Amino acid sequence: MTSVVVEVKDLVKDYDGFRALNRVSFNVYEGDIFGLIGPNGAGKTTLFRVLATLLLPTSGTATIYGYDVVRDSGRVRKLITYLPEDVGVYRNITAYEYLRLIAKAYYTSSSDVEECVELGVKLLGLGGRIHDKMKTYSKGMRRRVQVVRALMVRPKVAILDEPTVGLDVIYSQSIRELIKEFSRVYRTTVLISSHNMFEVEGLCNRVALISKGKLIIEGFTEELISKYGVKNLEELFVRFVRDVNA
Amino acid sequence: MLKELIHKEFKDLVRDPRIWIPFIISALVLPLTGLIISSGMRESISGITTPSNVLVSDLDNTQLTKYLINNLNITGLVAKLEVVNISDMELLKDVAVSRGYEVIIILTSGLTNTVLNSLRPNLTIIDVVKSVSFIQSLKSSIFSSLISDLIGDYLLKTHNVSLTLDLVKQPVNTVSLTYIPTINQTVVGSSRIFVQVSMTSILMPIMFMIITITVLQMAATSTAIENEEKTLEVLLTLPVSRFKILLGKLLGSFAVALLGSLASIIGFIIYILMFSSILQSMTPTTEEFGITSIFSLINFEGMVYLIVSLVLSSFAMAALGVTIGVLSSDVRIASTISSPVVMLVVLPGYYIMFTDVGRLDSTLKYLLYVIPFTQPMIMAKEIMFSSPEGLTVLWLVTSFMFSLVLILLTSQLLRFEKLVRVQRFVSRLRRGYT
Repeated sequence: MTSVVVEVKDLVKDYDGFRALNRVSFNVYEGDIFGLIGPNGAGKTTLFRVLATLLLPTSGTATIYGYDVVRDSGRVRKLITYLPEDVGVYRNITAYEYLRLIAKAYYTSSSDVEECVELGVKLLGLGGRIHDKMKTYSKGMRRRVQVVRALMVRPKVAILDEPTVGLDVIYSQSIRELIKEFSRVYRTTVLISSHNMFEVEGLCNRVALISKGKLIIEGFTEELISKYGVKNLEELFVRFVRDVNA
Repeated sequence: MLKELIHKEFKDLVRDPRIWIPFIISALVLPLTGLIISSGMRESISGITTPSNVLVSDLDNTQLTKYLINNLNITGLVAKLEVVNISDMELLKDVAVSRGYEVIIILTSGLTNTVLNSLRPNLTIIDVVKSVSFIQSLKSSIFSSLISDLIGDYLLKTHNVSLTLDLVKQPVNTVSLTYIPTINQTVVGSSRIFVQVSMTSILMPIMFMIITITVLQMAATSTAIENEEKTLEVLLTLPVSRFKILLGKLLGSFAVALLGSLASIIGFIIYILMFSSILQSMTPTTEEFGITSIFSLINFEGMVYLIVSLVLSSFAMAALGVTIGVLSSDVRIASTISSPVVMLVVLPGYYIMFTDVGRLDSTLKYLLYVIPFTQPMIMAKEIMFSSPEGLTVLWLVTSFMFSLVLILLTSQLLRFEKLVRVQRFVSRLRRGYT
């Protein structure tokens, strides 16, 4: 029996009178690659920001490894990494320098830092270009830097908001492979949001669909497809979102 | 971790040419300005050393005034001299302008009697200038010194007058005026103070403003970019305190600002040296004209305090810039906020430029010393005429504390929840503003 890593209970988040999350509850288990899907404005980013200790819930609770994201935010931040959607890079810093900065935020001993940076360099696979300023990188390379940054510190939980958004097929595939491989080797629990149903279906063992701030369905990807008699996740998505909007 | 954050900030800024270009421009512009102004001054100085056309209104008409007029003619300082007896000042000025005279000397009625009674009479000398120039007003100084010397000489030759050394050295009270016929204005003032104050009151604020605007905008832009690019979101989820994140930004920006400020200060020093060297090389008697190097007026201790104050002021500017950047969700908002903030910050500087700080109410004066943005300006003016006060160290510490408190308060804002609210509010304000 795998243990619960992320526990979200009756989570509500209001913004200026607008309810972005409405009593959302779900669990994520150790080693899961958990896909959060939903249309634009459904509340995916808000939910991830709450889990990443950036936003305070209006009511309800969210815990990571038993630590409350509000009360124990300092401890939670040691366990997680967060990749915001569309995050940029420091234009005049090299990827190597950036990875080193991040490693030093998580590790104190120089051997741990070196090991972490070494892993980052390996995962990034940029060769000599790792010492170039990041402004010279393509969009795909920049995104890969950020994904590697979020994984190389071997977090207990990696929260990745649309990690492949705007990337071409080759870069998207390389990032998916990276996440899959990393989760398998290091047992990192990964939460991913994406609009690419093909990506979620291939990558995530469990999914949750939210729309208008409410959790619609949640469960193992394959079981859900089979249970609702649809060909794929995309069909499932369309059916449920259409029902909610109807 | 703070060290790494500072390194990151420093490298990111120092490698960006957009950050360096304004610093380099300001470092080059000041010497270039000095070069241009000094060449203009060269012309002006050569103008004052060439003989002048002098109109003398002899209202006393005595042996002494005749002695003065005769000797003025043989000094070589006078190209054309005309003696009139006009007591009406306006008429006298009209005559001078219509006949092309550059200097008017008024020998008042009773001048001789006052001198012979061992008292000091008033001597009015008017420079007639076509435009206001600091250097042109020096002609009055030349004639003031000359007439003082001549009267002193006359007194020494006159045996029935009781003499004191002071009286011989300074037998008249000179009233220097500058008449600008184009706007029909007469300006009262000593050229010595005029030049010194203009040096310190105008140049120092200009230099300060250049540094200020550059530092504030750099810090604001770099922090706003973190918001815009969402890299701040990443930083806020790292296991690092918010105060450390901001302090890293502040110290990194400040290190770059300091290098840039040093470039500006070096440019400023070259600028001042150009003034001094030109004045000294052109006229060996410059000291008599009342123009001296700005540095000879500031004592060493005062100069050290002034530099420390400038550095701390840059630090405060960087802190303010970081705060503006934190409040701005993108670079355009940061620029929009920066402009009025810069204006607000430099406005008290204008006040200091044009006020006599010696006459300021002590509360206001201390307030100007406490605020890091006005401190270097008021200090620059005060140390021209007095030694730094014992409280100066306290003012410097206050300036430093101001920056730290500002960053501490801003770090309280740096909770994403609050930040989003404040940024939305600022965005709404900006939309309202534009």
